[in-house]
Amino acid sequence: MEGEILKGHLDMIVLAALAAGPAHGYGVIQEIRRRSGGAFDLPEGTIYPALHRLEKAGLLSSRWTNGDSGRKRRVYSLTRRGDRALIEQRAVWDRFADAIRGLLGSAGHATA
Amino acid sequence: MPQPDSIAEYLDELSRELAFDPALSRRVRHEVHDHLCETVDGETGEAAAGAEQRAIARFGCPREIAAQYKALAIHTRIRQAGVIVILAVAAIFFAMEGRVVWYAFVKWPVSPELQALGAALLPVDRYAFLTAAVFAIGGWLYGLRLSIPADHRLTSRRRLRRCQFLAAAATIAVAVSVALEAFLTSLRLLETGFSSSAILPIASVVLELGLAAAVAVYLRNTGRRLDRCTADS
Repeated sequence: MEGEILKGHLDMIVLAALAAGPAHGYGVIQEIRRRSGGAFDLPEGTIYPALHRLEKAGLLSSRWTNGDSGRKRRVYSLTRRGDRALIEQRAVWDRFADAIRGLLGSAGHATA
Repeated sequence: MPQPDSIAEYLDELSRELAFDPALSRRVRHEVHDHLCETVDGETGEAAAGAEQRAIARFGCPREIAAQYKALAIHTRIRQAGVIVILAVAAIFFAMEGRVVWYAFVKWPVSPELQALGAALLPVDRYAFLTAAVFAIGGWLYGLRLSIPADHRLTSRRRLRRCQFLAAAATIAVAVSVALEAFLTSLRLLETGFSSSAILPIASVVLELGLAAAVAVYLRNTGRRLDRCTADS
């Protein structure tokens, strides 16, 4: 998957990964990898600034917990604003995907 | 740039890159430490050899990661500048008004010469303060409209500069007003001499000067950070 395309949708991807429930950065990356069937293999370091940015924007909240290993761990969860933003982004994406599908479909028929 | 060999070295390098914000640096260090340890813990058997180096390589270059945080930090700081300037202008306004009320309350004597000078300088003082208030509110409202950057490239650089300009203009205008107030207050004190009733006017002028200076320093540092951030991106 093209990195630049992925970066353009990083916010939506991270919000979608957290829709399943609160998770720490590593958990978010694992969830993205699992739900995308391994197609979205993002550079791991890009997720943390994205989480921080989404938190600043009020779409996520976070708190420190102690993991099973005893290490401090920052756990992120969607806020109500984040929930709403994800619903909006999903609707925009659906419209976009339908339009592209229609376009590519007709292009396929035209060249056939 | 060579890749660090161990998690500790990697974290040290990342902390150095994030030194512009010590609290953020500590937070990111904890998070990344947990992440890298968990990645390494997940590799067992033969895969465990070299697991640290692979985890570090997958995580990415510390400088590039820090650049993303830096863009966000400067953006947040400039938005905060709008709020800080408006709060400072409001505090200065209340300090000035409080001094006027105090003069009336203690029936502070003023010579005709000083009254004439005060009347001549008052319009300058008022317009400087009004200008400060307009720029401060404008900068604050403009800052509210700035969206958070989606990457480290600081695409809203021009808007950040405009926001910084509005905050700086407000600070200069309020500094003019404060300087005039300080000048007139010192003339009053020279006329009447020091007494216990002079403590409040002196304290209010010191507060106003301190606030104006603190905001100017904050804006200067913010400007320097923006310059550095712009040069890096």
